[in-house]
Amino acid sequence: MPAPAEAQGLIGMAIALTVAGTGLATAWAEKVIGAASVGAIAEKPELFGRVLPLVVIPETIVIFGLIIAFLMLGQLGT
Amino acid sequence: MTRALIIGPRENLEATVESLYGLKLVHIVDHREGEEGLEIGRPLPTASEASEILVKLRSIASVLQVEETKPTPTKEVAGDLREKILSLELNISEEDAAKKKTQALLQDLSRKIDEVRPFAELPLSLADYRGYDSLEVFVGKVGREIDGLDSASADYEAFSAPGLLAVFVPKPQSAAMRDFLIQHGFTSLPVPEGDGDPREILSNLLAERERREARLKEVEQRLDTLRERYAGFLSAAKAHLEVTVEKAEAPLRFAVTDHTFIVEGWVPTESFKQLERGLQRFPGLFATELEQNHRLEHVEPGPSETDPPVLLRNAKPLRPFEMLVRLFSTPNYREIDPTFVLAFTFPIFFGLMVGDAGYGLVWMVYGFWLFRRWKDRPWDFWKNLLVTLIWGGFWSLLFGVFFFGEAFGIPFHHPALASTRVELLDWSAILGVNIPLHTPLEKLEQITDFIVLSIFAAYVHLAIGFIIGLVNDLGHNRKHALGKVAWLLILTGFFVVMIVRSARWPVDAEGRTPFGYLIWNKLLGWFPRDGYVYAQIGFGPSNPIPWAAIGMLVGGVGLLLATEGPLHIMEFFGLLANIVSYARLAAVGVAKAAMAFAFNVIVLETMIFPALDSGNVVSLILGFLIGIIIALVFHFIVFLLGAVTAIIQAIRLNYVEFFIKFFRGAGTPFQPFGERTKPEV
Repeated sequence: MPAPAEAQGLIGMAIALTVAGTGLATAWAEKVIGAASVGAIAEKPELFGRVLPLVVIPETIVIFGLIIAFLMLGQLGT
Repeated sequence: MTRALIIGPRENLEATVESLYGLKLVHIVDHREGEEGLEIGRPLPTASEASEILVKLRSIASVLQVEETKPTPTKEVAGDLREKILSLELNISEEDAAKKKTQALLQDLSRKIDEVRPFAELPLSLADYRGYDSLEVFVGKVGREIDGLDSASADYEAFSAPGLLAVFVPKPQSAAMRDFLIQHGFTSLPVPEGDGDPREILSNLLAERERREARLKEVEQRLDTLRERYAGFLSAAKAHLEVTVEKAEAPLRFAVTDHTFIVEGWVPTESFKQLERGLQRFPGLFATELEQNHRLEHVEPGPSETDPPVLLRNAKPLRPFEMLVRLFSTPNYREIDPTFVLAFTFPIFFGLMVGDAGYGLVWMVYGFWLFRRWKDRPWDFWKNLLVTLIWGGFWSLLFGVFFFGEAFGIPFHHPALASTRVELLDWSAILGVNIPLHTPLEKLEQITDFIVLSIFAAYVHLAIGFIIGLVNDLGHNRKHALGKVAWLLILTGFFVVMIVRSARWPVDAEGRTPFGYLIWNKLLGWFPRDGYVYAQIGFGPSNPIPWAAIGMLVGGVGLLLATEGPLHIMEFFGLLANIVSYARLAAVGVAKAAMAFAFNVIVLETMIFPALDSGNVVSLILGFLIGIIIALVFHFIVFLLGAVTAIIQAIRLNYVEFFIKFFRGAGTPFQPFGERTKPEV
């Protein structure tokens, strides 16, 4: 059930904000973790397997953003 | 694993070490000094000499910059290894000293040349710059020519060359001149030692440098010849010596008494007979099993120091996936090796994310080609990874053909609502045959369905994780095992609620049946339907939240409280996040397909279609040629980007969402005495 026509622009902006915000948050988090992990790997290369999941953990944030964006896209008429 | 004990008389020590090394069956447990009143053994007499030569050899190898090439077949190294290496060392240390000396001299020369060079531009002798009582001399670099020196002092003499300036000023005016010069970007240069014409000095220095450089080249050439001649010998000798040292130092890991030695270690249970046979030929030596099929004495599920080492054993095609498990951690002796699950979930997730018959086929063909080229390569990280990716390519091909129905971003059949010319293009039209496979899921249209599919994958994957955890805990701790049951209940509750929400309408706007509806009514048709209607968030009278699912959630939380304690309740929403996290399968899949589609639009609309419409043979051929080359480049980008993301995300789903549910790791890998391994990665 699409939202009323006058709300569509706001929904579009909301989608953009969601993706941009979660993307930024993920990037920031991964930057910090990534820098620390590379330091750790330089000291102990065998930590690679332990560190990789840590680096990609924040990616979940942007995935949530994406899901919300998809749900909101469903409210947009064609 | 069987704990083995080998006891023998000391005179047989050396021969025993030899044969143990050859058998490659025993993971030796180091004996500790003073334990049970037994001392540790002393290294064999060959040890000190061998390690001494080894040190020399390593220094020679580093001087010659002999790189560790692939392990040379250890050919018999001649007996006079020591003499050969000592004479080589003498030879090389001389050359190396000459090289270092010349390098130092060259550096010195270069510095002197840099100092003198500017002065060679000015028409003065070096002696002219110093030795005045009443004059101050400023020599230095200037950015650009400085005018108006007379404004600082009426009485001066200046010499200049491009970028250079030498000013002679009577002492009383020197302060004013200095300030003036500094204001105009003057930086002073030190006057070099010595006297005479700087031009002459410079040319002498340059000639000297040339001579030295020629000499350095000579020495380097001699070292090169030496390297070429001895590289093979050096790496063979190094391998030989390393083996000798390892053998000679093995007694350090044994326990000894005055007349006997004792080796303790782990042997794969079924290989024990082989070990016994291998050691039979020594009189007075006997091997015995301390415990067969080692039982674990204590009940805690965590790893313990006395645990046997772990040898992972999987069917051969699955073995490369052990690398992915070990990259995280070696499983400990008390838990199930998750490789058999990973061997399917990793390539299936990869396949879902790539999900394109064309890319899958290319991956497989390229992978097999590389695999054949690497036939003789040892099973290192990259070779294992390659095999896992060939599997990934296989699943991508499968999903691409039967599920998503597309190759290189072009579908087998165009979508029903297609309107533009690019959208209408499909493989059936290109090939002129109606491909009999109809896709159940169009990636770019049915994003919600793709997400539902991801959640389904999440449920299956996480449920397997909890079940493995349940089996792991069952033998040790009933309480933890019940905790896993609680999590399984909560997971199922969440899953059912999500599926019910997605099963709201039997058909969507385009007339397709949503996946959620299919799963709810076909796969989960047996699930009790009665439930709580909450229309505001999409649970209408046709799809109420089932009471059974609510019961599972509440019951699961209750059971969790009873077994694992209140702290674990915090992870309740973590599990929800885990499930949603699998939506990355859909996200990456859609993003990759959209990228391929966008590149196709660019190529088709700017090159291929205009060429087709022109009706001119030359532009037709030209347009097609350029279009195909650019399309190749574009698709190569999508191919690589898609593969890299798919690998990382597939590993991540296994490491973060899956392993954390049950995997403890921290096992000791089985490393039999005699197996020489290089660290992975």
